[in-house]
Amino acid sequence: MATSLAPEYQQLVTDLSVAIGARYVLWRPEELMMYEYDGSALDLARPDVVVVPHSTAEVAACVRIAAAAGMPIVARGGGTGLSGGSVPAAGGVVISTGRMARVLAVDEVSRTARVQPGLINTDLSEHTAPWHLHFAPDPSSQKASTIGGNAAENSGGPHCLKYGITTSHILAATVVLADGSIIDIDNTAPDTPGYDLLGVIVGSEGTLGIVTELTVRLMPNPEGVKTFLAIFDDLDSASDTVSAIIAQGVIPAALEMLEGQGIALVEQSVHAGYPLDAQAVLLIEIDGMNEEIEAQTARIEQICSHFEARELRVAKDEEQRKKLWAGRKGALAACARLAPHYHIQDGVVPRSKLTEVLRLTRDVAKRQRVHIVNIFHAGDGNLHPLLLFDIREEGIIERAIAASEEILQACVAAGGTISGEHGIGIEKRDYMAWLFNEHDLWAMRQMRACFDDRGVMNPCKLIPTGASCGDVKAARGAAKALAAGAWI
Amino acid sequence: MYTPTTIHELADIMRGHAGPVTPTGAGLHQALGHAPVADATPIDLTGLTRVKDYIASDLTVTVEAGMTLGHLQAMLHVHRQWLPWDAPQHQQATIGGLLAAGLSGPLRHSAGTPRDWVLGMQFVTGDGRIIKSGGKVVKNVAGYDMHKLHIGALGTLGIITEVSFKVAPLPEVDEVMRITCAGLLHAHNTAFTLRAPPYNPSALLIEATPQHIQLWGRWQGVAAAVARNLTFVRMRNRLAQPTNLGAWEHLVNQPFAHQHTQIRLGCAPQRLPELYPVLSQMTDHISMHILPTVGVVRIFHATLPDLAVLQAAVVPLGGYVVVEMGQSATRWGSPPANIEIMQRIKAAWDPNNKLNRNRFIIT
Repeated sequence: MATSLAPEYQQLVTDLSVAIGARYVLWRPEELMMYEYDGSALDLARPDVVVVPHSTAEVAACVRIAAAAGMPIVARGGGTGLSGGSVPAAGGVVISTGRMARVLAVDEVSRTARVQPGLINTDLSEHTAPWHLHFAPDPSSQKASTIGGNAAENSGGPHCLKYGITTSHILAATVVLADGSIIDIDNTAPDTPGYDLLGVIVGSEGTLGIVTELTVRLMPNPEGVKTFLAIFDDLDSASDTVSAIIAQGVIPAALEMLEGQGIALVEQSVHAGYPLDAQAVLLIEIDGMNEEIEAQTARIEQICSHFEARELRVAKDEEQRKKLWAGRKGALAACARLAPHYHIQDGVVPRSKLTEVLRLTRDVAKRQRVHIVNIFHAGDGNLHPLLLFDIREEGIIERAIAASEEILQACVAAGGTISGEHGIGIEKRDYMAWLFNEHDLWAMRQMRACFDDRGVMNPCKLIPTGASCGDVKAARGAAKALAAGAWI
Repeated sequence: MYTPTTIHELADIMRGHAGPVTPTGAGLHQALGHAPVADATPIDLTGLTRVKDYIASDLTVTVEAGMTLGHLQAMLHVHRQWLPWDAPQHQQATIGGLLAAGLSGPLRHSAGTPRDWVLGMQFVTGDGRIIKSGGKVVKNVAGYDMHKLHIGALGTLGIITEVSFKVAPLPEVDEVMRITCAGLLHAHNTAFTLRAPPYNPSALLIEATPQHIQLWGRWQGVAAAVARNLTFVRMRNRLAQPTNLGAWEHLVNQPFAHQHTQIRLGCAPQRLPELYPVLSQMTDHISMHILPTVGVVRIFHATLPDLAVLQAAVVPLGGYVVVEMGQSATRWGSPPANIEIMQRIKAAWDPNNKLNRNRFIIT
């Protein structure tokens, strides 16, 4: 054993190595560095040990060993999370699902698949393509994020507008609990008497247990898909169009908006054909039977013309469609041209309040002297203000955080929420009190303890926990400065 | 009997009353579960009927749980909206009662269950705390989805007092067809042909009686798309007959409507054909409804059929048998997997076991 391994970890690493093989137990500082951040890079904490098991039994063995050693346990999929969910806030053992990435079975009749949690989101739909079935949740990270991570965060994505978020697409899970026991939670037989434990496992951000297998729902591919790009000369008209589409009872498969500087940045990077001078563009996709597409096309054309869209383009073929989507899904990276560092926010407002809250984000940007670009799931009212800045600028981190908080508070004041799909994690844990009172949080803590009474699983996340996580919180400011400097 | 008219009144009752209570809505599904303990005090929740928030242009609504689903639907219809939720007695039953009983109907084939439409909930715990879970907007991942635990919990984890839903635009057309079939398996296979893409029925239900076996289908949406579905149905099934929504309503409301016994079986839908040999032997004297694409069977009869036979058939398929109406010592079947966790949650939120004591599988 190398000399750099601290003596207090030697027994732990030995036990884990015996359980799953020494090459799958990582403890050297250069190995651990890869596991100290997620996609948000605002929070940073190094694990003490990382394990990469390859089966449910191995996960259970690792959990037993780590828990016996008094270590916190954090599950990690693709590491693309945006709220610090897989960052080991209190150190401990990170369990990576990287070697558990197989599709175990596909059932064409029930339209379900049994998968391992480390499976990449897009790999599942590619696997089920021969059956003309797909997994509907499509977070923008889908080429890198895992089904297990999607389930933990209850991820969304553009097409959740029509097809619902991840929780509606998970039917069963095998879960390793904090004591190393393995349980099966199975909703494949409908309305099984008992409490809907799966309903709380999905979206629990790894705080109740580690999912090691899942049964997911698959959707039949639609007969037709039509994708529009609606181009607007002002932001209000674009957001009024979104509100009108929903209010008139048209539910597109996806309804996305890019606005302001973001359009030109995306165009220069992706060349999707977005006009450089537009103030806002809507990406509208409808799908279903051909007759449904025809009927919805007429309604969308009418609404866009009513709100004086400059132009409504239709993707002529699959290649054009992919191009339009590449603009949306690659938007985050494209915006890096404007400033070297970014922070992406995630708030939700009632769809009728979109115009009002978007205007506010512009005011906030001006006041706090931060670039803010909105690229988001407009149809769901799910805003993603993207804050762009240069870390070298004096006081910019404080102003970016202040801007973020002001926007989120406006979302809450409008009747919305502080996260639509990125999760609470570390990032928003202290904002939970904006939405929930002490009784609500008490009920959550009580429920969590029913799965994990010692708080072993992903501690210091999701629920404000008070004292025990105080030092973690103190370390957070330092981590932020460090992370932002090390990034992009 | 308590009759609170505000949520705070209800919370006061739960703090002040030490003994067991039985929350009731319209009282239409009280047959579900074991009888309440003798000293249980009913709490009538039909006084909680306020609309807390309805902005039609957002397609979201928040109401108190004592409101009937029929009332909510009427309110939504004014704005050409609805909740695609066709639980038995959906007109008269309360929203809280239907959620607690975990009831839904054949539309779940396409629309899912209330689990997919509930955005948030407020509930009162056994010791009188008012708790909020979820929110009022269509996307929200802040906190655990505690509200999902209450759906189908028969009021044992808390009294549902307020519910937020996302709602849907009303479909342009709504058509019903029925097809006479030669047997259960024939009806089942026909159902699956009707859902072959791109065809998209909203609901499929097999009605088996001693007189006939019929597959019922409902199609909703854009007129031209529904028309193409129906052309396909007729082309594949010469015996397909158009029928009216009234007949469909009657069918959907059949569960819990009569004072005979009623049994629910559930299993994954791909396993249903393995049950048909057993079920087919019963159809010459017993009526049943089957949701072939969902995996739910409801059996109606004057007397209780042999539960052991049904259990022996369905339990090996990963399914279950529940006696929804009728006298039986084993109404809920075997204890569910993970019952220890469920019992811990029950003990945490209802520490004195006041809520519907002894009625559910978790007591």
